[in-house]
Amino acid sequence: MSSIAVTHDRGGRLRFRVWLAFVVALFVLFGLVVWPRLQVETDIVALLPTEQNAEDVNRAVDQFSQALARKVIVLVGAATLDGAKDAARGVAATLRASNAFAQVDLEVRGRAGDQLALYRAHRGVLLANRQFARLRDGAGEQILRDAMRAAYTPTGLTSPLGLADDPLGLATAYLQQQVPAFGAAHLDGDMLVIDEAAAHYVLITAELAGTPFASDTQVAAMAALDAARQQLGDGARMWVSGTVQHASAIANRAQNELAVFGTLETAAVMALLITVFGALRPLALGALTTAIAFVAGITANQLLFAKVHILALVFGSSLIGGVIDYSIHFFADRFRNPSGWTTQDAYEHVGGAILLGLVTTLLGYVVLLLMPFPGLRQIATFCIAGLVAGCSAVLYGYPTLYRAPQRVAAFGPRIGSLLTRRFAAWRWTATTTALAALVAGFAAFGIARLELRDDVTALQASPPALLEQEHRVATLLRSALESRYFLVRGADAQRVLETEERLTAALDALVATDKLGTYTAVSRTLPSFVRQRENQTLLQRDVFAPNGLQARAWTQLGFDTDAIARKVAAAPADAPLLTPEDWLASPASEPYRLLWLHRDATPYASIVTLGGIKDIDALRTIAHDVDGVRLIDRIATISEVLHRYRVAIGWLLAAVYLVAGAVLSRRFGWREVPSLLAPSAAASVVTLGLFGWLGVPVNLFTLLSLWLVLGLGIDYGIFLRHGRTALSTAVLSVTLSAITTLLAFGLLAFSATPFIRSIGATLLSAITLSWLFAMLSCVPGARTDVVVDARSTRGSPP
Amino acid sequence: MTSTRTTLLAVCALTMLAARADVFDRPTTADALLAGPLAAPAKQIADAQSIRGRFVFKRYLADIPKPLESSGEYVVLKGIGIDWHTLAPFDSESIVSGNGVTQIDEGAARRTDADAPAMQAVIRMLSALLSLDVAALSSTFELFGGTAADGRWQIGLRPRAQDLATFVREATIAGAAQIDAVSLRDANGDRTEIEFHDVAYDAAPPSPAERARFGE
Repeated sequence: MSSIAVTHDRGGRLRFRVWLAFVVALFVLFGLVVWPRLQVETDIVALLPTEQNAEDVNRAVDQFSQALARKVIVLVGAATLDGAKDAARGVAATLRASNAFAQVDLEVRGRAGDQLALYRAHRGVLLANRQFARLRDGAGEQILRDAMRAAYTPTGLTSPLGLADDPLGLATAYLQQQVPAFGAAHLDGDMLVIDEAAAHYVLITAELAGTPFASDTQVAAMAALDAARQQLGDGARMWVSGTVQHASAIANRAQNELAVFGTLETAAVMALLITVFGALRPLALGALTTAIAFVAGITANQLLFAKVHILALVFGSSLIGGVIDYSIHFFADRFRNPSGWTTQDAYEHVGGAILLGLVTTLLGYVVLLLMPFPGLRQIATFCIAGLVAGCSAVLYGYPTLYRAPQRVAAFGPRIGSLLTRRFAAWRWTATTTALAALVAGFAAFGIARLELRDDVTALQASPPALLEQEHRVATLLRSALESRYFLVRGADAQRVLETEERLTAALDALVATDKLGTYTAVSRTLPSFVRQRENQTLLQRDVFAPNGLQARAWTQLGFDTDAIARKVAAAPADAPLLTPEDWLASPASEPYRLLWLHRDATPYASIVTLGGIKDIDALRTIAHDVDGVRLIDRIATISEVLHRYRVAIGWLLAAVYLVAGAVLSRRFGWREVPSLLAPSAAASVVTLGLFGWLGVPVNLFTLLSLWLVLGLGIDYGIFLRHGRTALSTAVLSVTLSAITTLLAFGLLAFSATPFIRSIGATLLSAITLSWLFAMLSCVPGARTDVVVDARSTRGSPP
Repeated sequence: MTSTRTTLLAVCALTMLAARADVFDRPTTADALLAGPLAAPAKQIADAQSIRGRFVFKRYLADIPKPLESSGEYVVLKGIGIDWHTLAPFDSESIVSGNGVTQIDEGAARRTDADAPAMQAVIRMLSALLSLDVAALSSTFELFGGTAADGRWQIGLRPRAQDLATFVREATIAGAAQIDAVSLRDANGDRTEIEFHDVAYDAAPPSPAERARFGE
């Protein structure tokens, strides 16, 4: 029988050569170009479309989000303050030595001197917000009264210019406004410290050398943090907050799962193929085909998107199911005619069905490709490239590469004919109709109580231990890193600052009423020119005037008139404005530069960060009321996007059923269409019903899985239709492909990542059901259509 | 008259310079101080839950002949915080604890988060001084000096961090059985002298009412 393989025609040989050249080219491309720069993306959010904003808003938000994602906060604690400080020094040294971090801050660098220098040069135009408000509201007397109190108490010791030079404490107040908020931490020596009843904690802030979503950064940073934790002495402990640990944990978990599930699945598929086909060659070809499909998918994604998302890989594992399906149809075709079969027969007999199945499946993915959704595009690209490559291997490679073994395995055909007999015996009877009605009712009630959930928890969940750490850090600092912030935009730097000042005035009111803990804004340290001129007017009218508040303060402190006259005369006459350029050039601006985006953004933009949000609606109102201000709320945006796309995918799914119906009606005639579409449609509906009863929430990913079900269910129908002349072979191959798909996806139902679990659970249920429904709807019809019209016996119970 | 005053001032200045030179010439450590001159007072403080006393606060400014003077009472609750209560020439109270700063002027309390960072730093420093917590002081300051004479001691402090040095150039504390006086020199040349009187140690834990005032 081995001589059979060489009998295929010249067309087959040519196709094989072209295919071989394609595969070689693919592997060369993969080895030389793709593999060296392969980057697996693990940020789930990267899959979601960015808000439908102007390009510049996205750029500004991305820039800041990336900077924020690089931050790592470490709290090192011990029973004594000295112990905590020593431990913190050790941790900082380990982190610095690791090269994973661009910067590790333990000792707070003194900026008061730089800030004071900047203030001295512009003291005629600078005022703390509080004192500006008092002077503007005519409450200057209060400033004088507070200053006189401070002069007699330790409070006054914090004056950087001295009482004689700054009797009203204007410099003191201005410099205090510059201190960025650190929550509950206070400066002890040169370190930021949090005191608790039985422990002291030292704050270390660090910045990663790269993006937390790159695996080399994750590995280096987590190794450094682990090493630092290992080196802690007895009684010392550390808590870490930062994106990198979550990204790392999620990536590791996803990779472990891919490895474990992949191994289990491969082993199971191998066992299955050996049992059914009784030879190693189908197995080897199946593995080769899967590998080609996978490499093609990765190559296409890396070339088109410059990275491969972990979700595309997970979805790609369905390729093993899908592509193996094509192989199975090919190999199983032999059971049709075990003695005289040639691979060319298979090409001719199942080739058409495989191509048609491929076209309907691709149709779905092409629609995904057209959507403005980066994640769906990646998944679709991966699957299209993989399916096309895998399918071409079956159609053009197998006829030459496959040599059917001498022995024909008996087990497979036996199962095939057993199943065929069972399903062929099935009829619509009173009992089965009642059962169907019961299932329909069950599904309808289930769907009615279905829980739709679009929040971000559907996407990813960090390990509880990490969430516990984040919680501890947030509790100790009494402020969490808020993911929500304001984006301020304007035509130029001054417009941005003016808008910020309108915004911060509104935020001050929220802080005063305890609706907001704190905020940080550039305009606190770099006021707009408009504000600086207002400051100048107020200062000259109320403070620096010959009988102004400052002169009165000097008098009350006991300076004589001559000394006061000298001081008034010595005051600089002009007051140069503080320009953004001066400000940026000063080291004093360093803590705020992250917020000042104007350098790369057009129009100009800045960020106002928030801490301790207690009333998000009040912030939304402000964002609505103040022109040029947007509240960026990534979590709400994600939920909204998940919702929008869930709805859109729902409608698209319905539309694709119609399109697929149209395609199928051209091939099989419209009368056959309902029985081809019914299995996947019914399986989807019953699965949703089941989820309703089980309390499994439905999200975008559930619907994406139903999308896959559509393609696979139609495949089953097509093969059963095609295989009418050798029904038991078709039943066998459809059953085998359903099992491989279940193996591929069923395991995902046990994933720790919520959205992967959604996909797994949906497919586990829906694939089983669509196999069952395909068998019920196509097998009896196949038998009866020889005798009577298939459709006349169905639909009306006898 | 003028010349006498000038001479007197010069002598004063010289004496002070000499004293300063003495103190700041000899670097020391917290351990050395606790083993030496501070052994007895530190032991006394170690047993106490609270420290109370009166203070006189004098601020000397260049160009003003008379210092700005205030006086009042203070309470340090160990591990909790400090209450600095100025009674004259006006009533003003600052309570600093892990829960923040509360300012009470003529009986009206308000939390002042705006002033908190710098004020907390200064008042915490006072708290560490009053409880002779040299370990805490040594993390903020370089330590100098030790025993002067007759069981009296004098310790010099210089800030380690640049930020604090913007406000305080150096400080000296002096005492015998307990702390008697603190002298602070500002970066801009002003000087502050704080005297402590009637210092009392209490080994009993603070009452719930007292703790409540500190926001505990």
